[in-house]
Amino acid sequence: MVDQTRREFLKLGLAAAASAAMASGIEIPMFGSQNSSIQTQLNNANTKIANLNARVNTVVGFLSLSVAEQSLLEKIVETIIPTDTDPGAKEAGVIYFIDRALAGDYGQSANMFMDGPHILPRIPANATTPLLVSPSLSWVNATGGSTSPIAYPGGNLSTDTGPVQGITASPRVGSGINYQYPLNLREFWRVGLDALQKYAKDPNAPYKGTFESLPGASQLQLLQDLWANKPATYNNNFNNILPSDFAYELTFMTWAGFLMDPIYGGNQNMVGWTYTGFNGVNFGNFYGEGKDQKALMVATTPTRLKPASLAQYQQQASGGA
Amino acid sequence: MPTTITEPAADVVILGVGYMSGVIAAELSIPKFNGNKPYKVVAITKGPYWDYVNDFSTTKYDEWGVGLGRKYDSPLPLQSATIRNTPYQFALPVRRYTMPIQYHALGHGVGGAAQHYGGTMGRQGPWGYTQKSSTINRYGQSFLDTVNPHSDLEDWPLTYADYEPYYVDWEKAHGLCGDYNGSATNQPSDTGYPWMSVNYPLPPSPLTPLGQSFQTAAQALGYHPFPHVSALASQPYVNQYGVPVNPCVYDGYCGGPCDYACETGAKANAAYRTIPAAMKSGNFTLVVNSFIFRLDTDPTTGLVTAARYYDPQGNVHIQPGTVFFNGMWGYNMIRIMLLSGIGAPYVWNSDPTLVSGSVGRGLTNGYLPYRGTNVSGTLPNNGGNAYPAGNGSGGSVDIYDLMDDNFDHGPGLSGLNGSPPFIGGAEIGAGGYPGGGPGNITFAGGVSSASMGGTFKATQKDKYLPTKTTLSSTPSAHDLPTTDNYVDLDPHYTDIYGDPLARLTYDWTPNTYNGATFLVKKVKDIFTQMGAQNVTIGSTVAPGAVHNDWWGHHLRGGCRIGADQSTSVWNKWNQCWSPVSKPVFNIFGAGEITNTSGDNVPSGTHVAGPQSYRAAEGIKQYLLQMTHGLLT
Amino acid sequence: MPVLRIADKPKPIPLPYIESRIPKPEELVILSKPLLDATILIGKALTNCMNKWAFGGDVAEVILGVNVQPNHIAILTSREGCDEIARNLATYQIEPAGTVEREIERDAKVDLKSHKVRIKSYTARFDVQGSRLDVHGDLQIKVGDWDWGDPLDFEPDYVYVVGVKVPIVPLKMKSELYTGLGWMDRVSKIHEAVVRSRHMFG
Repeated sequence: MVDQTRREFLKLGLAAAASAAMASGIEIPMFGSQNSSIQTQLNNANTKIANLNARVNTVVGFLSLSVAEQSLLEKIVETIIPTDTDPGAKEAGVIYFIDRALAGDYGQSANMFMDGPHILPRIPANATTPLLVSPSLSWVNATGGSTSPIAYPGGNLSTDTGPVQGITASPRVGSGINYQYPLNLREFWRVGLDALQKYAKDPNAPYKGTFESLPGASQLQLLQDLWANKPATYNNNFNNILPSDFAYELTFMTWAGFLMDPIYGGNQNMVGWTYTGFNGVNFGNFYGEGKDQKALMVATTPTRLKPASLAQYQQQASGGA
Repeated sequence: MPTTITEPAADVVILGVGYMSGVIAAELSIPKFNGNKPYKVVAITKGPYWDYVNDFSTTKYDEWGVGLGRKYDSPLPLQSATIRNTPYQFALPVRRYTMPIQYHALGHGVGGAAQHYGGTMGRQGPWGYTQKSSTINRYGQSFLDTVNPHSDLEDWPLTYADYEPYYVDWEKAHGLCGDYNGSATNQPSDTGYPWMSVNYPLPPSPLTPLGQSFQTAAQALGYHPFPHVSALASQPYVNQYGVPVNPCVYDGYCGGPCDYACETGAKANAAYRTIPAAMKSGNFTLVVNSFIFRLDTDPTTGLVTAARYYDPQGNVHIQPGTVFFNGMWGYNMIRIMLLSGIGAPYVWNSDPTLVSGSVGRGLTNGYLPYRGTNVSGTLPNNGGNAYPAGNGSGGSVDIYDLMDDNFDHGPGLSGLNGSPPFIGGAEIGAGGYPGGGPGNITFAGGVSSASMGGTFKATQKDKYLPTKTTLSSTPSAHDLPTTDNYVDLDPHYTDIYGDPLARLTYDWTPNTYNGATFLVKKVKDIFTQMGAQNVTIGSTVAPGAVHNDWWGHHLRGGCRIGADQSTSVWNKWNQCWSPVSKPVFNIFGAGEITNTSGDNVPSGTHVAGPQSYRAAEGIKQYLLQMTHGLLT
Repeated sequence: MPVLRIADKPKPIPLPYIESRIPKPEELVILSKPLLDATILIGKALTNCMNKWAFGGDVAEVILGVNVQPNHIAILTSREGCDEIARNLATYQIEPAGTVEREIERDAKVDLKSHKVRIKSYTARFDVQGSRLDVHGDLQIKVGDWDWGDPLDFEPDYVYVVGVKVPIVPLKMKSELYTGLGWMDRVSKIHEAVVRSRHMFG
């Protein structure tokens, strides 16, 4: 009876009150109906993570990447975060993180603004030809403006406060404003990986072989070439996307796959967190270390905490420990 | 088949339910605060109601979902905005949220952006309210012309002393933490600055070791450090509306560029400070998941008659009201007025003497150029974990001595320090830990070609366990309004309902860069005094070198209050008095975007706060008027 | 997810729509203004009190987020504390201090049986701008036929009530008291407030 009561009690996540109760020696039975909303949410979370429980540390299998893409991307992520005396992208399962993302909202560009017109970036960023774009009907109605296309001058213009660049400002690589493609991110990766492999095999480019076949130093150099937009000058024009845009996405997503919560498929066994000294959702007492957050904040020396993941946190909060 | 539904009329209709709207809701719904009137108040928001236990407590510790996915924030497919640097360019839409955050996600739902911010607050100093006249009086008109070409700088309609009691109300309502250590007589000439009639209602969070170190160094150099002002409750609290507030639990999932929602309600926010009291009154109706797309106006008087919104099923609702409060964030405040034909739209001209209108005019950015002139160093053995870090804005220390006109900016300045002229300065501080997740450390500056390979990987080892603390500061003087930075309707891109997006034409003004050139040298001295090693000033960034950075954080001034009816939207009561010929006087507004100018408190929220109390007072007076009209 | 059809838009676009349940007024914990104002006044008046004292009763719970509806203010202190408070709040006093023993309305429920509950204290009563204040010195509780309990003693917690720092009887002690009385509904309300003040784990 006592044990069951305690279990229900913990299920409602009242560990703080529990420790107070335990300290005072009083068992406090819970009344589920009084906290039904919290109970329901935790039950749902409990059900959802039940399957994850065994899989917190191992996520394998692909949902979205093609066989060719799997083989290529595997080597790319291992180039960006190699395995040395410490785990790298391979051990962290970075490729699974990227695969899951491509299969989900990220790949679908579900939280992106995808409407046209799409004005693609140019190399070099300056363009001299003026741009003519028709206005939307609703803008015409709202402002009383003309329905004629609006002209945006190209090149550099002189103003009384100095020269300004026409058409669009040269944006920083990887900035949100730089992504102007009419492709969702899944398509963008398909196009990018294809272009990267074409560049690797291009007889006019330095590498002349598949990315997987190249020595490590060349693999890294090839990725550097993407950042410098070198492939764009070749015949295939890197499938009409900016190589540096794709390089940004590759690099960023590789690091995200190393450092984000394992619930997303990467950072397996929390190797990325162990490497960086990050503790995830362990606020100082997840494993009974007895540390207090406020004290940790004002401490003058760091404390290494064993990391805990979001799924583990939810599991423990719902009494599944 | 969508239908049109007319709702029962309300006395006060509130657009958006963020910080400012929360104040209006409480002050107008609760009889004890509105002069014992039974006003009916309706507030409408495009997002949901958030309960911080049910909605955040198990799922917020998710840097990927929060930081990049922005799962609690305004979805981009609903509406975005377009950006360009100059009026000559084609404005591109923001198509995705990025990490690092450049295009800051709008809030969504009750509480708005304050559900996900870092809690930084700070009053604007007295000088900030009279920048134009103060600068001309002390340094001359030609100095201002040199400092700010195409200047659209205006004084505020009220002084700091006028706003001071309203600051107090705002601070009490939200439980702000800080410690003003000025004199007992609280004179404007105090070194404790900006002076306050009563101290903050909550004490500050405990200082971090880094904050302690900065404080000692600043004092040794003759500066006057204050604890950083924060909206993250340091103690259990109850505000004047009787709402209990839980204190911060320092879980580290608070600030950093991700800016997380708070699972205990300690992060001040209308949803957990003012709206509960409004709801309890029984006179307040909250409408959620509803997108306001138009304000109807009377064809004869031009006054607002109703707000129109879409519910999630696509039905149109008409909400009539007597008086309206525009509490929408930033450019959305401007956009709804432009779409509805309220107020004189700003019309740009390359000749600054030929510009006209006020809605959209005088846009500035309250933050600072992201990759501006920087000073850095390392401080050995001074700091614990970067994570768990505490919270987004507590534990640090600021000085105001290098802000405003607290030092001579006269022509001798460039001789002394080699910086071109500028006005204002910066609030400089240190001590907060970034927290927020490892991506915040690794991606915080974005990734580059240097972020690949074994050498870079090694730099990330134990990055969250610093035995040395990296100090870094990018101070800049504040951004000044010009005729070339503004908001209007985009000609090409529309929101999900087919209405034009807001278009921001904006680039940093030279004042920020020129101020940085001077300030980095001062910061270097402080770092050196702290005992930092390898203190280095990064290459000086010239004006115009950086674009589109930190966009959307703290936009100010595009819909400002002013003393001149032809160049401002709101009068000193935050009541609309535009256009001059036929003012639409039954709509009030307050927000960072109504700040006439910035100072260098990077967050304009605190500065906007008193305006919400002014607007509340104005609305109460308006409702009592026998004949409605402009308040004087 | 609902799909919205918009004129002039070429295709309907699914919009993220988050379920939302707005709380009812009875679920919101707010301290009423008269009691709030009185609490602040009392807190300020007793700032320099030498004896240990703290707000108790329902007001102390509402201040910490517990969903109860107080109708008066209670302070717990010692006998000496009661006299000192009476000196500080002399203008509001409506009944002189004296030992009062009485039965309270609600019974205790222990071992499935109801027991009458009596409380005894050195009490003074005040009217603070329309709000009733009872100050209890050395409060003791007697359940049924059992002995009188010791005078309640505790270390107060502190809450800033609109900037005025006031001592409060800790929730933990309240929780123990209610458990002892078998008032599990009150215990449950305290736990809900505790849950809302922390993340799931310390």
